[in-house]
Amino acid sequence: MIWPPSFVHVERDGLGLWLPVFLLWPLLLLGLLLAVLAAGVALLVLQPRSLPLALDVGSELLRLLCSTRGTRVEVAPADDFARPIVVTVH
Amino acid sequence: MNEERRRILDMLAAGKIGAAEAEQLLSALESKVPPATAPAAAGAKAPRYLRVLVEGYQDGAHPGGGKVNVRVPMELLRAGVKLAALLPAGVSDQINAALHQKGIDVDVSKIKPGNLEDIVEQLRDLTVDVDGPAGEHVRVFCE
Repeated sequence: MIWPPSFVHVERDGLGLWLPVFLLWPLLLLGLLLAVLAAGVALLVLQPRSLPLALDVGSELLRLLCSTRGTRVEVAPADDFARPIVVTVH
Repeated sequence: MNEERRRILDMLAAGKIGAAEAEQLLSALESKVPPATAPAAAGAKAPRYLRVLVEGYQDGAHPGGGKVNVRVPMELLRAGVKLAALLPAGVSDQINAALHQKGIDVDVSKIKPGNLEDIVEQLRDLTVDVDGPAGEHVRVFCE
């Protein structure tokens, strides 16, 4: 099982900053539950046949979020004296 | 394509042998080939990341040429393809039209997770190098 990102590391001018993204997990879980409930009720009323598809999309979205771990973006400005900005998802 | 394989196909094209005979000959040829490449491929480590490097982009505001280095986990690509496979037809059409406008003729509804595995397999030994009109150099590879 893979988990959502725990930390995001931002590095600029030689200074690194660890952002504890895991603190947002409870909010994320709450938002996900509310979204699933709202979508479920709406689909049951409007399009009952689309409910399994909506659940699949929800789980795949969560998987997409979890799969962002390991993503790294480094941008070095054109100016030779400027240091690169590096963002890494852990 | 090796010489023997080409000869069989030439004979088939010239009508000297039938399709069934050509198939028999080709399968006999394949069974003759030593399986030296198979263990190497199986033993090789599967790539975990897709890397995109853009270097030397120049424009009026940034004459020196900047650098962008992006590392994307393969798992993220897999998840994206799985999500794309769930898209309704109407949404896929809109995405296809937008890609077509950018000069990319791809039908996203036909990209399945199995296809991605094939692409990843091929990317293991492949590096894409592109020199752009603005002086940038783009390199895409797996690691």
